[in-house]
Amino acid sequence: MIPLQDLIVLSSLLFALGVYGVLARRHAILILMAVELMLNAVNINFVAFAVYLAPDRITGIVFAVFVIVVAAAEVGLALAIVLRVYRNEKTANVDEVDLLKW
Amino acid sequence: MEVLFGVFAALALLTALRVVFSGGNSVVSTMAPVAFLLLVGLLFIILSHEYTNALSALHAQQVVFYMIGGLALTGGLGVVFSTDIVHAALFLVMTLLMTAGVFVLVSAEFLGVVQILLYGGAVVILVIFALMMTRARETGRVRVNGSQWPWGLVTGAGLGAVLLMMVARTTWRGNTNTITPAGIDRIGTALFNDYAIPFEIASLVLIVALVGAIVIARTEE
Repeated sequence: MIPLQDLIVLSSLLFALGVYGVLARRHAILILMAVELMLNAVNINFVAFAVYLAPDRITGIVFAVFVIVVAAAEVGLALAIVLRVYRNEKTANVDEVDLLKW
Repeated sequence: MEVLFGVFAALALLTALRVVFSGGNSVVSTMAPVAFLLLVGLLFIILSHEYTNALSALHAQQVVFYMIGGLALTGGLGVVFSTDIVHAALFLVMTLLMTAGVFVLVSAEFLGVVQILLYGGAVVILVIFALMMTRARETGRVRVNGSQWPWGLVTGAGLGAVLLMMVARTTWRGNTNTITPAGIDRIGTALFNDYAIPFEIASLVLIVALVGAIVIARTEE
């Protein structure tokens, strides 16, 4: 069988990659893609703990379903906002959308 | 057998390095090492049944998990390091589908199918449509990497190091080697009995996101 630690290591590495992606990328859609990466890493973590360490409770898998639902809704809404910003500013670079900056 | 595992590990490392350092053409130059990696992994699984030394104590399931996990990490590297946005979206598809594979490997098949349907079938399509509408492919107009990537590297690497140290130093209670399959009947019972209120609130969240996206993104005429 697959040891639990391997799954958590995979989840941790994907999450760290997602964090780097959010901080280093400047295109709004790339930042959203890195957030999706982080949410998937968290899902792997939830499912691993639910299946390995808490077999009588199914909370982890139900929570993972809700994380998928919320992530899909968030991506849809965030992309609508990005489209609106692109229509007004002609750019999707988050560095160049600084009208409200001092 | 050890030679085969060494080749496998070397190909995995080569794939990761090619994704990180290859620049704009990363999808094309990643697929050849990935294909070789899969072939070597398959050979490893087939041949490990015929040897009795310590390395073949790795079950086939574990080798498949290493392959799927390696591909997921390659996809993740491609998302954050690729210089072409559409390539990054394709690498995201790879990561999402490999995550679905991990779910199927730990016997949560319902979640694997939901992952493929929702993420691979809806979220990625949405992302690619948004890339089309924001004209992300036109040359010279898109700057993908910011000037503060060293700080991002420090943060990401530090967080990863802390998490890995946490995993290595925890004494896990319970058996960390056996899987209890989560049947879909249990998931359904839990969703409609114990978690009925979050279920309804999740459907409300979806309606709000749908209406909100339409209102935000429409063109007034």
